[in-house]
Amino acid sequence: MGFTGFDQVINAWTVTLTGQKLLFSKISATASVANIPMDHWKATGMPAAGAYGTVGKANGRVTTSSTTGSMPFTNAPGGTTCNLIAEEATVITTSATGSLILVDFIADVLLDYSETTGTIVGVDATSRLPSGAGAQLWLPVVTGFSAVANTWTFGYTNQAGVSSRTTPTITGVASRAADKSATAGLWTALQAGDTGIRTLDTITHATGAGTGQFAAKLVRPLGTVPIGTIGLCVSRDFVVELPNMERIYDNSCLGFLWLPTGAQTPSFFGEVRVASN
Amino acid sequence: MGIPSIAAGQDDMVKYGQRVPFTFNYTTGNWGNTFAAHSAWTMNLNVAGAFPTLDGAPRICTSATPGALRVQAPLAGSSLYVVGFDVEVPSTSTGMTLVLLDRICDIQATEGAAPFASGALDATSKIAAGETCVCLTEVSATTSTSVYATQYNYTNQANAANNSTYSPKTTTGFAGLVGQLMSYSDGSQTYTPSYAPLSGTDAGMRTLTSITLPSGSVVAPGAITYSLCRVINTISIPNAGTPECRDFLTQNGGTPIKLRDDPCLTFLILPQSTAPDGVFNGYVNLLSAP
Repeated sequence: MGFTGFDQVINAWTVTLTGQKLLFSKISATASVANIPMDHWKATGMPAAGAYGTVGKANGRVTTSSTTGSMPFTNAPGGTTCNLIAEEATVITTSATGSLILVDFIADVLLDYSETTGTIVGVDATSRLPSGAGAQLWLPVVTGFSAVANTWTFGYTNQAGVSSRTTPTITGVASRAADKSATAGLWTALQAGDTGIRTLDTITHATGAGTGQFAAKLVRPLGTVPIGTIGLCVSRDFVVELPNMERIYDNSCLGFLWLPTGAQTPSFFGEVRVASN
Repeated sequence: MGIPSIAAGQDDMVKYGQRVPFTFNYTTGNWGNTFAAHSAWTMNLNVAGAFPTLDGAPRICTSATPGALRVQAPLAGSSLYVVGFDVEVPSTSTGMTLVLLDRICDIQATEGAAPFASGALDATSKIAAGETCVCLTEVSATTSTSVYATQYNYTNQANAANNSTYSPKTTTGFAGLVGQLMSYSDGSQTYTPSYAPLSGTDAGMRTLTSITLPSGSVVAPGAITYSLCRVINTISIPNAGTPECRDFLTQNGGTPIKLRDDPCLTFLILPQSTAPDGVFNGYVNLLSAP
């Protein structure tokens, strides 16, 4: 049913006890590079580090709250929905300021940097997202790229279920290291008019013979905490302060991306609060 | 029934609220590194906390355990909820982040030794089904600089046995000072807040059944206390000398956290400086609601 008023949020935490505190305490698997988005999927700690599946476009998978690397949580009881309430985090590595982005990692596939053109199997967000919704495409490096800038495009089905949509040409960044964005930015540009992806369908390798691996991940961004000072907890209230009570769908694979301001190995901890009504 | 609305919470706060005062003295110089997490367990000026018997049995901590904040029991048939807290540090000190914890149980062991001969560290009777704790590894007597792998054998949110390992990248680290939490990184200058790592999709620990140390672990004069704690809330004090407050009833998502009847409230400190000597004072605001 969702929340129709603030009182129902308080009610969820104290009467129905359907609020959940999802604690995390992580240290990045690799050092960051200033202003280059990076993925904390493989960060160690609590919860445990995630891993990727078998390399190759035929080996896509849907990731869930049961996938190692996800923050575990309990699905909303029958007849209720779960929503994001608050997020707070503290970074405790000198100079490691930045923005921590909470996301639902919906589906992914591990690809060779020079993955051959063909059909992608299993990178499908339809089991998680409602009709009309699409995910963003995030491309983190998994094994460092060689000093070559490959280019490629992806074919996909958009938020409205229209297939044969195509991304603009994507250029991989030569020598880009693991966990960092394979491209120059965060989300991947889509064909004009599209807001998201429901399934990732094909890859077309255009140029380059560089080596390395990257992941193509369908991601749903949920909330961001900007951390401007080391050692100080920053909180985001998504009920009143920044009304944005994103729905947490059953089995969501919750994790983090990181937009660093400097080159450090960030260590951070905090909690995500969700509640059902 | 809890707190059904803001109005009810505000009304109950007038009738059944309690402000729990606290004063912690951290002038003892137990600050090893900036941003390293420290336990405030021994710093409570009302009654300083003490560690359990060395190499003895696990201990269940309550509001009557020395070191805990002095909390009045809820009204009959009611429970306690944390609806806010405020705190200040002196202007001569430094900014910091405080994590409010309910310390549920603990056990102390000689450094390099594996305790638990007397049984598991067991929080299950003090937390709800499916709920979990974080595990803190706290220096309770100054340790050597040796760093070694530690395997935590525990039960998770589903009461299933599992284990995780802290694997240091180096073999030497810092000499842990009393109150400092052991690092789970590489023993150098990179820290997490020292919650023990977990395995798979585990959310936390309900029991810590044992730890396993590699053969040849250094047994130094130091001692380590393992505790299972429930994380309640966090507050940051960016500017020393300027009080800060958090309201969990009408702000911060409206998330008053329910406490067990007999909570052992204490703090984890993340200082922004290696020399933040001083005293911090404040109140935890609790509400007793049916």
